[in-house]
Amino acid sequence: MVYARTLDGAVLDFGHSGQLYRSAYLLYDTGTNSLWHNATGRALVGKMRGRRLEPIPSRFVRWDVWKTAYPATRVLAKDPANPLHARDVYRDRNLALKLAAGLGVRAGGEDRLYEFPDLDRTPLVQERVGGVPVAVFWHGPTQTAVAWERTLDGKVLDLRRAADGEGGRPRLEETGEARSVFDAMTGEAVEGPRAGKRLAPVLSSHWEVYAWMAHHRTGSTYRAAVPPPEELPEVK
Amino acid sequence: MPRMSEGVPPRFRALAAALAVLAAMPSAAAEGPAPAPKPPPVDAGLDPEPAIRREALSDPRNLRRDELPPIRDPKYAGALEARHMDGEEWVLGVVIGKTALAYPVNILNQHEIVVDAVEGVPFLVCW
Repeated sequence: MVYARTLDGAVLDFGHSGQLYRSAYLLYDTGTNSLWHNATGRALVGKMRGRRLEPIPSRFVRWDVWKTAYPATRVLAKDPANPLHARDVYRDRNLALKLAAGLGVRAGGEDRLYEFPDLDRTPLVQERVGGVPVAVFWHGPTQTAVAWERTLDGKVLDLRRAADGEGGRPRLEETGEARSVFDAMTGEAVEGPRAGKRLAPVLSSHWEVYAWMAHHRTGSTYRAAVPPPEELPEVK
Repeated sequence: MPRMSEGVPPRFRALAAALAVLAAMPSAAAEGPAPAPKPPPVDAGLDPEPAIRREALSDPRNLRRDELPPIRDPKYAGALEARHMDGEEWVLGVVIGKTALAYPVNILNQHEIVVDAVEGVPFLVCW
């Protein structure tokens, strides 16, 4: 998760408290030593209890997908003097996907989880979360999940998958007459009357399912209506 | 007559007692002005957290405070010069203003926290 660390006009600084709450680590702020939940951005203990840091939309994605979508991106470099950076601990790069995981979306004060196996069956989900029209898109080849608000120019868009762009970049297009084509990974309209405009990202984060359940007990879970292949009835 | 709180778990006894008192009070709603509608809670949708005592969180298995040092002065590389990166490596990507930044999980795992600011926006990366 990424958060703005400004609260009431003051900039907060944070450290690692070492403490855990429901398996999630807690940060402390150097000003009040309150303890903050890393996954929800809320202060649980101390003077700041009940306060919440404003989340900034972020995405968990493969490096090749990210740098194709944002060629001007900068990437955190390793510090040659830091022995912690000498080896890659995350050897199994697909670990996150082997776990039961999904995209946790937050919009209009509501939380909703889209588990990856469900997205794999219905790669483009268009619905409302907390009253906000969203499009959740799953790109199977790179196992990337993204969530966009699908309101643009005051209109709620109806989207569908379009032919890939250059370099296999997945695209979505608007149905109907005013047909604009969007880059699915940046949300930017690349063709059509809306060219140059961007879909706004919806707050979303990758979660292991059990962890999301532990921290969002009032949230809901999306279920694909399409049964998985092994559950299809036999035709005689 | 059995006491109201019998069979109620201890943590709910105070609540049960309070409810019993409320139930016994004559209703004022019929004459009094209608109560103002409650504003929606700020954290609507998030699980309300119970009060937690700081001491209750301590566990000898936990890391020590500051044992995992946050990255406070991050250095970045451009996409072309980032030789430490493998295409299939996972990153946490964020766009702030016009700046796109990527945080490799391999590095985040060792720190869990990055403290930085771009385009005048102070921000915090948690992993």
